[in-house]
Amino acid sequence: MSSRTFKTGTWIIIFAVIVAVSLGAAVFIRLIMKDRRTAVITVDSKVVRRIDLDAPYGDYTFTIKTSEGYNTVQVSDGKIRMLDADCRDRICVDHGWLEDNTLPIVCLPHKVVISFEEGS
Amino acid sequence: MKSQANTGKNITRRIAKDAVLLAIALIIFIVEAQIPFIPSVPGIKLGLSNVVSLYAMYKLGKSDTLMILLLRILITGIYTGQAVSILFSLSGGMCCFLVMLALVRFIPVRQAWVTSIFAAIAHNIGQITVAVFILGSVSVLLYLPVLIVSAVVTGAATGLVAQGVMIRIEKIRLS
Repeated sequence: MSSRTFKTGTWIIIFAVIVAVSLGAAVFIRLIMKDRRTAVITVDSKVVRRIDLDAPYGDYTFTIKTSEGYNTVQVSDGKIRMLDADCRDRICVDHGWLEDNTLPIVCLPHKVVISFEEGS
Repeated sequence: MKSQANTGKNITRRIAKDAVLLAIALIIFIVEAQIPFIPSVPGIKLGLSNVVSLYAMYKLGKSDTLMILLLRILITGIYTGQAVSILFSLSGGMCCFLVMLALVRFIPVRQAWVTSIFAAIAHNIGQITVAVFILGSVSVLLYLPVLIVSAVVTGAATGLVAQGVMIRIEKIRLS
């Protein structure tokens, strides 16, 4: 019992510091993750493109071609949507803009999914 | 734990003690599974079974502790019915065990809560390492600070319980 390492008070300070640093890191990480929203486009469950929605280079559209047809994606003002597609139901186009982690845009006939990356 | 002759009686006594502790750990696990503990944050739980590990580590020695730990993980894994959960508990449990093994020599029973906190932190680090491999994404690591905070809190709680149990059992000299 004589080999007491630190006094209890010292240990409490040590753990208080550990907790404070971790809390700081947790808050910091949360802030950073909030700032960067990343949309992920997958075709048949494979990631084909990651889009940083908070990137400063404004509006653009691009087209994904799959064996089933094409999907045109528009990124604008931190939002993303399916602008056009030649799938049969066009539910993905009717979905409208996606700007937070709610329902992902799904084009079932083409197996294209636009969703938010976890943690963003 | 001084050089006891391994007579049949001692072995029987040891097996009985380990079995009782294992049973206690399993009961704690089952009871704990019924308590929702901040359900919105995955991976955080009180980890009361740690009380048993700590007790075993301080009072019975490393091989008994390891045996109880491994059997507990195996049986609770079967109980929950998920192979992945065994993997998680195994990595967490082994990290926890190694840290306890290292600290138990330096930290006396009266400061067992310190050991407990470090063990809890190690447990969470072990689990998150497995999560990185299973989910195949390093971004899980960003979750580590939250887990460390929870480990300090839950580790202190379980450690104080274990410490209280050990000190009281010393007094009544049951073992």
